[in-house]
Amino acid sequence: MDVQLKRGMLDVCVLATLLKGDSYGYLIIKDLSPHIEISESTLYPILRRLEESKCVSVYTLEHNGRLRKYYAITNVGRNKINVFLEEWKSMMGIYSFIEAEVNSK
Amino acid sequence: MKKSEFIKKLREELKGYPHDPVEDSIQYYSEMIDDRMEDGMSEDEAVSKVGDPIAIAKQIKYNMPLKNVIKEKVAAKKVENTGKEVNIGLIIVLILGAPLWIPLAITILSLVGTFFILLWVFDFVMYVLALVSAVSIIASIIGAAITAFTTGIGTALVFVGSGIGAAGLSLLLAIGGIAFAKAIIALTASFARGIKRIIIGR
Repeated sequence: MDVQLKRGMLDVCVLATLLKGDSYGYLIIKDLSPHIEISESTLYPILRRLEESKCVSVYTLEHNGRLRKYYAITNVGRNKINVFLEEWKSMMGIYSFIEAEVNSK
Repeated sequence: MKKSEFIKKLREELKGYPHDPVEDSIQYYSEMIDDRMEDGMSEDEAVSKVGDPIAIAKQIKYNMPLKNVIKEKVAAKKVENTGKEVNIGLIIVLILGAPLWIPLAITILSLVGTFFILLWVFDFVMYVLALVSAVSIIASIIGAAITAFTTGIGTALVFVGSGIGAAGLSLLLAIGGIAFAKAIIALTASFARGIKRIIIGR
């Protein structure tokens, strides 16, 4: 997949996994792996970006004697998902058009 | 590679970079390795899955906000420089140029000083006017009282109205004067800070 295209989508993918509940780094990677390729070094700047833009909030919990960072989606984050879906709706309209043109040849 | 080795390598690569982002990223990767091990992987497996510490460090450095990096580099440079001799050339230029920049500095400072004095005068005038308005309330009361029994209620009410207006004006000027004084003090403070910054060069 085109790198630039993927980059914008990954942020929203991460947000989407947080919709069903708060999560942490490794779990996010596990949840996303079947759908889109992502490594921890890819995820790290995404999480930083999302935190900076207030799309997620962060807190730490103790787990087996060590600290683990949890991420929770915010309303700003939810809004970002909706904007993404809206944009892609129009994208799909264009896709249908192009596909139809190709098939009509 | 063992986890401790990985972390050590990562820290080495990130030496000289701002403390908080570095610690943050180390925490993240440490957590990632621990979670993988908890999931059943061996330490070596977990570390290798996470990636090469040098490549990861490169990526962290690339993603770090530039202003933080610059701030940190400047701070480091400062620590280096105190204790070194002051630039001789700079001193010579300062001495030779003194007949020019000393009178200039005096002129500028006098102008600035005059400006601030003017601000305080203006503030003082506001209080004086507030006082004058307050005093005129008395005149209004007297006027209202007299005209109530001579010219008529209508004229008396005019005096009452102007008395209330004077009271309002007085209050406004007094409050405004205080607010203005606070503003002048704040302006003076930030001006002083600005001068300090120019001199010390922070």
